Amino acid sequence: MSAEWLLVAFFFPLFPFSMVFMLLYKKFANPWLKILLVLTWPMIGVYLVYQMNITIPDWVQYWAVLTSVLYALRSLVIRDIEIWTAFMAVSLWAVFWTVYPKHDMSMLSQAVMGFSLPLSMLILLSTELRRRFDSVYAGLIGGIADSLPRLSRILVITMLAIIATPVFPGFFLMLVSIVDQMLVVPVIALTLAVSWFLWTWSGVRLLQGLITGSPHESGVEDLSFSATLFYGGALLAIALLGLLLAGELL
Amino acid sequence: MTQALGKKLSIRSMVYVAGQPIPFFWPMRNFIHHNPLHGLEKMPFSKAVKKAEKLFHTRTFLSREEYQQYLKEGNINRESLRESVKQIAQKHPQVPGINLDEWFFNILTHQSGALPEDNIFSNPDAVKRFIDGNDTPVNAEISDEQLRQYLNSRFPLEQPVYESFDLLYGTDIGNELDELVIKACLEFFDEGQSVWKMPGRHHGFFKSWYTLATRNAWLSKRAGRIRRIVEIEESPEAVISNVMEMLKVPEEYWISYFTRELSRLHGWVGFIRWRENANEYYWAQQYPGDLVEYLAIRLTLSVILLEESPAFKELFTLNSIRHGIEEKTFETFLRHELYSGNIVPGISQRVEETFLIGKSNVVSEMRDDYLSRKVGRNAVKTAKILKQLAILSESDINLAELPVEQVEQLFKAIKDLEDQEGIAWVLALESSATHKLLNNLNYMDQPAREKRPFVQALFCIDTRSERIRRVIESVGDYQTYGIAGFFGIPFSFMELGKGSENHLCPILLTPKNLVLEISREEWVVDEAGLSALEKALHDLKESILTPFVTVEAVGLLFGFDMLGKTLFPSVYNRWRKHLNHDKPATQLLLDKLSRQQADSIVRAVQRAVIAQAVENDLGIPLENITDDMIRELRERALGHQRDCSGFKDELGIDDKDALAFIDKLRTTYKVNSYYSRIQLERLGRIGFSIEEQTVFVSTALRSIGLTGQFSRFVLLVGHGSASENNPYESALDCGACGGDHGLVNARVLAQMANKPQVRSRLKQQGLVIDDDVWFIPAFHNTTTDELTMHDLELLPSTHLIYIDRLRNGFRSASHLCAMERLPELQPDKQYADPIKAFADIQRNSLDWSQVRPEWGLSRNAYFIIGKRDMTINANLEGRSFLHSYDYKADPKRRLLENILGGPLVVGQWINMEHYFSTVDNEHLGSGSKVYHNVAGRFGVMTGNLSDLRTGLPSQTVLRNGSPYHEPMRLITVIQAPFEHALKAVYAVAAVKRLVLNYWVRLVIIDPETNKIHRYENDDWVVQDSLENHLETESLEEASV
Repeated sequence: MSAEWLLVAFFFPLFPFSMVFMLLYKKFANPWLKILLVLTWPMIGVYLVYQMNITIPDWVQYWAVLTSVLYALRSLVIRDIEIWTAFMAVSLWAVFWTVYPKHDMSMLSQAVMGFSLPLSMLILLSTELRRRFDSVYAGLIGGIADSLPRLSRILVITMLAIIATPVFPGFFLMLVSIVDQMLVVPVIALTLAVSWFLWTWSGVRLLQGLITGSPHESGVEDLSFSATLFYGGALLAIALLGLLLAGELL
Repeated sequence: MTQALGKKLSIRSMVYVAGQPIPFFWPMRNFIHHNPLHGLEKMPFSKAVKKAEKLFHTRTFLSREEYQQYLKEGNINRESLRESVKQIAQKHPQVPGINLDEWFFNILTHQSGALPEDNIFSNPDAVKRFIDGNDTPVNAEISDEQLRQYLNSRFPLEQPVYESFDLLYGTDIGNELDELVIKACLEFFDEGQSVWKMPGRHHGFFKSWYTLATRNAWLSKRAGRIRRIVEIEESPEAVISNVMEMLKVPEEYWISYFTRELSRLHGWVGFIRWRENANEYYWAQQYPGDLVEYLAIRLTLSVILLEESPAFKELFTLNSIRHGIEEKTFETFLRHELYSGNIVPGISQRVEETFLIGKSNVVSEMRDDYLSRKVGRNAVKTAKILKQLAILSESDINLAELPVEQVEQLFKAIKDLEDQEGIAWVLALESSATHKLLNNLNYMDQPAREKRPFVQALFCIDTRSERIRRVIESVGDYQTYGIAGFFGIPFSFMELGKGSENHLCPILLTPKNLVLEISREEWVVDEAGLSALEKALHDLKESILTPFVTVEAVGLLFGFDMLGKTLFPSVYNRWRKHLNHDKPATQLLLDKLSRQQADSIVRAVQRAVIAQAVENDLGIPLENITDDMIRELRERALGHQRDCSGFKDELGIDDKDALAFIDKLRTTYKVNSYYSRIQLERLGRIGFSIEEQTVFVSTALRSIGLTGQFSRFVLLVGHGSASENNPYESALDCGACGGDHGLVNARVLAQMANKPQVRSRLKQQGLVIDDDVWFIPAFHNTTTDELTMHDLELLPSTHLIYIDRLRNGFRSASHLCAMERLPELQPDKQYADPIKAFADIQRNSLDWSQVRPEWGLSRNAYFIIGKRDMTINANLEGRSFLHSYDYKADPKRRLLENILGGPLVVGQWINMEHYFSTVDNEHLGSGSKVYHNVAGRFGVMTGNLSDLRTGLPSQTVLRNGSPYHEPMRLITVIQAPFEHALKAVYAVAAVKRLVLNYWVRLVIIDPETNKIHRYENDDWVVQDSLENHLETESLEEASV
């Protein structure tokens, strides 16, 4: 068995190869570059897996789910939204190691987009927050449910999409993965479940530091109506993607 | 070694003093409106609110944006606002080219956002540079000594050590500690809500907590630590002293440290403070617990949580903080910045990562960069605001040309304005409200009536009565008066079928007399069956096993109930009422018992008890027990007789058994002379003597100026509310009646006033009430505005023919009042039909999902003491307390002093409660009702665990997140000669303090000189004439 699969380990990140993605992510200050990175990085992994017909040993799945749990656990204490996005990206993408063998390239590409699109949206929303508050640090901002109702609502739904709640793609992917693995390798199923739980926990913790409490500053401008429509439309599209994925997976 | 008594007493007195700023919290069963800053009333209002902001971490004024909204709506007097800012501007040196008055006015009326704090990071040079457009990085030039001073102000010695710890290490010990303490309080102070009760409560709060804590699995890992602290000496005073020494807090700071600790859970502390002073409170007698024990528990847990924190290896004490400030100044400063939320945003992640690495040199390297960014950020914000202001004020000045010193002056002047803007806004709001009121009053005497009115009705001074009074006067020949809702008669009341007393009077009074309610007809209730069923249902609902066992069986029943009261509340509730026994017609026992009558009652009770004791303990059937036997036993038990040979012989028992039985009669059955005296004392409390009744009736009528021309019907209208599923129901009832309905008080006064003996004595005093005058008690339901009369079976037959006219008048008034009131509750609905409006309002009161059955006393603004003539044409929109008063009938000012010392103080409490619940509903109000859970049957919490929520819920004072109640101090108007009113005010110490410290805003309208006197700026401002006032107002309106 060749070690070509190790190349994939950069793009469906396995620790410590995940550090390359993290480094690049931190280097790119421009949010659009970050978005490009988040959208394309795992797609490279899809390409490598299917186009190059790389054989991947079974035991790599254990490594993958442990990577997912590690980054999910670490994301619990992160309060910077942009850095949290990167940690979540690694944790989410690591799950693909358990998914890909059962599905074709098209399916996996949809699944990858299902995870990456909400992450990209979160990067955009971070820039909105940074423009208003000069910071994307939960706890420093706070109380945006009152001061920025539109932005906070979009943020909450985006977060729900990232942490794999219904009807977003991540939910169906995780559900099917866990059920499939439960019958084959229960340990992996349980570890995936732990990861999922940690995503939810860390997502809610982050939201708590942003949404709740009294607004720290007054007179801050909310999202415009057109921007709200744009984000809302994007979230709707992601939800539809989720439903499509559900149809194909289930 | 036990702590010396002196030291214990010293600790106790420190805790007592420390708890003074925390107001009492009364059990919500009888909700008492109170001023949350009552403990600070010795200070002027403006100073008290500043202190409260620090103590309770609260705000005491609305936000500037909310006041700006009031300004837009025309509720704020612009001239008054200008005057206030002018006074602030005058204290500062003028900056050439800048009209400070104009700038200040523009800041308040157009600007949002405040300048950064004035501290070591304010750098006028940097501000000037940014004004000039030079945005290169700033050289901070802040020394370590300056940082130390800054940190010392942020970590005062009285700040609880764990709060400092949280601010330095990002832990959450404060909240964790609060949770543990709340749990301990919930367990100990429970009043029957829990099915599983805390064991050992009769030992007291601290001891029972300690016993449980050292055995509690949840706290088991801490049990050893708790034991170690408490075992030094088990008394709570010793624990407090030992813990404070462990934390290295200097003794001179203990009182203020305790105050900070106590103010964290001011709801629970307020309740404990009230409870330890309520000597007759049943639960306090059964399970005593005081503030010293509370503090001992709190301090013990705080030390344990500090010890357990992994962030610090040994116990973190005050010395640790001082050491950090002295030796690692910048690191301590940076920690504080990060965990207090003051960190410069762009660098926050870097700072957090630096602390994770944990290397001191890395932290030190950040010093210059961080301080530079901090100063720069402040300077940018300041420069931006100053530039905006210059544009807004259309100032000719070029800010860039100002020297640094003048930039600094400007900054300090604006900071001073921001510090005082709250009070400036409130003054302007009050000024507008005062003008509006004074413009609406009638200053001319009404012509004397030729004939007596059809009905005279005495309503409570409650603001909700204003509306119904106005409406009822419009539908017929009704004359109304305002009087305190308890009608001046303080008493305890024992309702039919209840075993406990309620005090139906203001909380400030302690009643001496007891009134009993007795049934006029036979009332058979399966009390045992009903109470057993109720208990079973309560236990079911509270039990954790219920869902597993009974949901299929009982769930349908509850489901039916839920659907009924949700979808068809009016119909369903009408049907449900049929299931309950109607209360029979009752009578109030309010005549004093004579000594013979009381003796006779005690004797009868004791004889019945003895007979029962003989049957139960000696097994002798009742028919074999003779009167003589009982008499002999009674005399022996009371110690009036030594010999009981008759008894022994008749029953065939020996000396020893006889003595044992006598002893049991005395101890278990309480047939003894001591208890007889107590029973006589209690019976002595029942009722009022004829003389007392005469005094009460006379005082009530004279206080409102009703001394002649009595109508055939004089209605005494008590009030109360009706709502479902509402823990705050009592807050909508009559505060003057101890948070209960006022109907009983009305019945009592009516019964007294209808007595021929009372009228005869009144006639001798010059107060003549004709024979055909009948006092009728009535009830005003403030939720539905229904008016119902009571005790009509006592009405003379000659009066019956008029009852229909009365009822029709009431019905019309209720409908019209509902139509006026409903748009405030449901603004999106239009009402053209009063009957429909009335039906909707009734539905409100029956709907268990309705979080706002009525607005209650929200929007209260005025307290008017004077004749009805003055307000007869004024639509006061239900915002005024109205107390009738005729100064001519009160030459010695006694009645006025009573009104000021009683009803006005209660009105001020209500006003302040509404004020603070509006300006900061989260801290001084009780938040949203939606999240409330009843705690222990005496209060509510938010969620499953929180401080006891004091104050009013958001649904009472806010609408759609914005203030519905206008937060301002009570504008008190007295219609009387100036000297007369002033002397009365000064004679009542509490009221004098309220006036001179501006907790109320006093206006005196002198009808003899036609002048208006207002107390402002520590002096009396006099307006020459009432006509001039009206002229002045129209000039002001023209100039705006």
